Amino acid sequence: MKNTVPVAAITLELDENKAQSLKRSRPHHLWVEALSIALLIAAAFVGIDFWSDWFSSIDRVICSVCVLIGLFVAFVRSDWIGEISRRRFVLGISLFTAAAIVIFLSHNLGRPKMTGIGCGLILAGWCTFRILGESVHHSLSLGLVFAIPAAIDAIAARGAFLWLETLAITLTSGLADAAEQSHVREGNKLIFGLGIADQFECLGRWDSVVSFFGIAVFCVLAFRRCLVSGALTLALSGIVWIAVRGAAWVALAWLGNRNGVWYEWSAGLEVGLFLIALVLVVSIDQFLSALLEPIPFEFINADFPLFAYLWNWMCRLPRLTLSIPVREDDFTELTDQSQLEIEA
Amino acid sequence: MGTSELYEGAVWLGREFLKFFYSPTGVAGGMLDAFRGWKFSRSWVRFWFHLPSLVLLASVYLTFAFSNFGREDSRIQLFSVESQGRCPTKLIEDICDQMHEDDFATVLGLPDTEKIDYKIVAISDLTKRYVELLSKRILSIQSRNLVAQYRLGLIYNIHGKAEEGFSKMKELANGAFGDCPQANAWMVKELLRQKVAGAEISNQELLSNLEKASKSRDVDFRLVSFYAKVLEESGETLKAIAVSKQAAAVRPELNLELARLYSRVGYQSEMRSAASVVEDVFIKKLNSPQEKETDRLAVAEARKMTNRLEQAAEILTEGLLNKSTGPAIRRELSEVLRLIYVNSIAKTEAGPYQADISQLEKAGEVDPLNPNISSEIAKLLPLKIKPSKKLMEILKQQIEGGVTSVSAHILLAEGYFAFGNMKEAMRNWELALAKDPNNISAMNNLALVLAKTSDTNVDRSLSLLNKALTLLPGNAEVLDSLGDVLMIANRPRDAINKYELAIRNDTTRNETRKKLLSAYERNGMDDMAKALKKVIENMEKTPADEQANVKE
Repeated sequence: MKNTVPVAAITLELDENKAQSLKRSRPHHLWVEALSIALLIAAAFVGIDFWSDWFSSIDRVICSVCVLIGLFVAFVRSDWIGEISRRRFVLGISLFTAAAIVIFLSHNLGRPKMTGIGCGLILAGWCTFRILGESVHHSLSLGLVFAIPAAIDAIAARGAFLWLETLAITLTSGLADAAEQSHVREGNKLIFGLGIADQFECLGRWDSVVSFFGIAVFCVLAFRRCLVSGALTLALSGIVWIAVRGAAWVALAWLGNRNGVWYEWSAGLEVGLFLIALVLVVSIDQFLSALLEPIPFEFINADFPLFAYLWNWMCRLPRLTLSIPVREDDFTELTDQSQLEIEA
Repeated sequence: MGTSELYEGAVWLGREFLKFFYSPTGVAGGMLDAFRGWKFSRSWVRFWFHLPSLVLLASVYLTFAFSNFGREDSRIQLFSVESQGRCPTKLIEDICDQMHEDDFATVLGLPDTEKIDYKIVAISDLTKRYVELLSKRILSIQSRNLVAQYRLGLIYNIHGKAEEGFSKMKELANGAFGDCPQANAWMVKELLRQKVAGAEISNQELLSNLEKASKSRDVDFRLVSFYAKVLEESGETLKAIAVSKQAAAVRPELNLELARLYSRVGYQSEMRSAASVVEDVFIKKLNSPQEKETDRLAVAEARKMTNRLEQAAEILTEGLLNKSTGPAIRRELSEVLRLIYVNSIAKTEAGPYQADISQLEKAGEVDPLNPNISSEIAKLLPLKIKPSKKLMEILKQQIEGGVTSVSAHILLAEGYFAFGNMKEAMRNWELALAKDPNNISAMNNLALVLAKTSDTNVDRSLSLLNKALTLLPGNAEVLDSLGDVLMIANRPRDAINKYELAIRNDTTRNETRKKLLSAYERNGMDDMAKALKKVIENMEKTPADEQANVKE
């Protein structure tokens, strides 16, 4: 698709934006940084047990790295320049206060996991004061990223992973059936027959799903998903995770059967599967987001706009910054082409 | 958002929905335009670029979905065929039988030569695991599948899971999944193995398993014979015959067991007919490439049972000529020849006995280590018949080889004793005691001869007799001997005590009374001697004297 809009026009537009942005104030309050750091240090001290536990697992470290990369991309793509309103100021202060209360409660109640929520509130407060060009919702959603470890631990403690494990075992068992690979399922344990590692248990290795959620969060942050497509991405990571592991188990069983050797489920294999899944999740996420593009205004028929409106509501386009191509260019091109055709 | 805005929004939404009814073409047009807009806004490069990932993911889930269409019975069939192909049930059964064979042969009293060699092909651990897994897989679909249950039980037993295997087989044998005589047969062998190992087993369980196992044609035929034997021993002869007959109807070879049973019970005509079937069945197998040693032995036994010893010897001699191997055939031929010799023994006017001693010599030539031959030779000595030089050589060879039986040594000792050769007599009693340290007869006789030979032997004699008394308390014969030895040791009071005990335990012993009488006299107990003398005189009266007394 050729862009027929003159380059000079874009440059002019960019210049105008720049000029406008320069006019706006970009307040920088040192006390915000100091308060945030102080609260973070307090949270780290109070929740030392929780964080040391979190970073002791390779799955969780990978998840954290993915989330931090996503956060960095989100920061880069955000509009930092703007004015601080009274409403935003009050919200920021409230978030810091809430964070302090949560950390205090965490310390007093002896529940270090709560510091995860505290960290989320600190980051949300910091974003509220610093990322002024974006809405407060944006700040809140970015801040909640720091609460992910606490959320993951909470859902793990409530048996959500066990439920996922059952699903994964069912799928793997079915795949093995389809591949005529004999195996026995005893609860959530699969035992393969000839040539394969004698038994594979999800237990103990299951937390790799945390890494996959990390990928999902990365996608959500980096590609600025809205609620629907964000939830879809999260679900996608789980679905891919189940499929990749199931297929790997069955493939290994088949290989072992053919070669008559024992294969063990190793850390190297786990890492390999993670990398494959990383590509798959990002790729399928991109595919789905390509389908969830909004309908341009020009194509909304006034006779029956309901369908287009609902669609656009479902996959709302986030407010785009300069770093993302602007859709209006395409319409210009179309108009130009139509005019050319009419003229011809 | 104000209330009026909400109201307007709701009204608009309502109108839009109503369009489905009053303006369907408008709705279709709107949706078509929206679709065009959607299509226009797509990045097709992105779409096609990322599509393979989706296809890959979808293929995994579609494969899973299609797996649900597989029919259970076809899966069971698939796993069964795979499992049987990897490791047939017969092979696993043979491995289990091989594991039980030594103990089972011990129970049946079979020599090593008659043990079955199952010629097992080794199965790798991997295959065992796989077969176990396939059986479990079938059971996960159909938990009451009898074959899978049975195979699982067997595989547990050959894969070092003895406890699980036993409980599974017990379950099967109890009919938890239907009749399974093979499992009953396994249980019988396992129970017998436990018995041989010294464990206590339930006889009721053994009999019930034997009964169930004997109903099948496929189980080890020796089990049926064993069952018949057990029944026979417990006095259920008719049931034993019925079981044997039933087994023989299935396997004609089992007529041999039936004939043996008839022979033991004394049903001569039935025994003859069974033996005739045995002969017919086994004679067909002779001189064929499949001929086994046991076939010829069976024919010989059938002939032996019907007292056709010459014919039995003939068939065994033929076997030896065809195949010079086979110690069992040699032994059997030797036995048949010995029986011919035994049958030839007859009392004549010319001498005390007449016998075809050459048959015994032949028997010794065929199998010089047949212990029954030395027994036969030993029997000659008490009759004061001197064996031939050849027989003496065989006897010497057997004594040196240590194959002679205890009874042969005792007979030999008695023979030598009769000939007055005390040295050889004592040597044979000593040999008998070396083979059977608890043999009372050898102890008793040796003790007596030792004491009579020299006073210095009295202590050993007393210890031998005391040991005999501990083994057989109150035995009159031993007490009598003890009295004799005590008299030699010049302890008449003790001797009197022992003689009196012997007479109390066996009132018919007049010889002991006489010994007691002399002991009384020697000890100066005249009153007692007088009274005893009267008793002896009364007891020695003949029936004719008694009748005369009655008439008077």
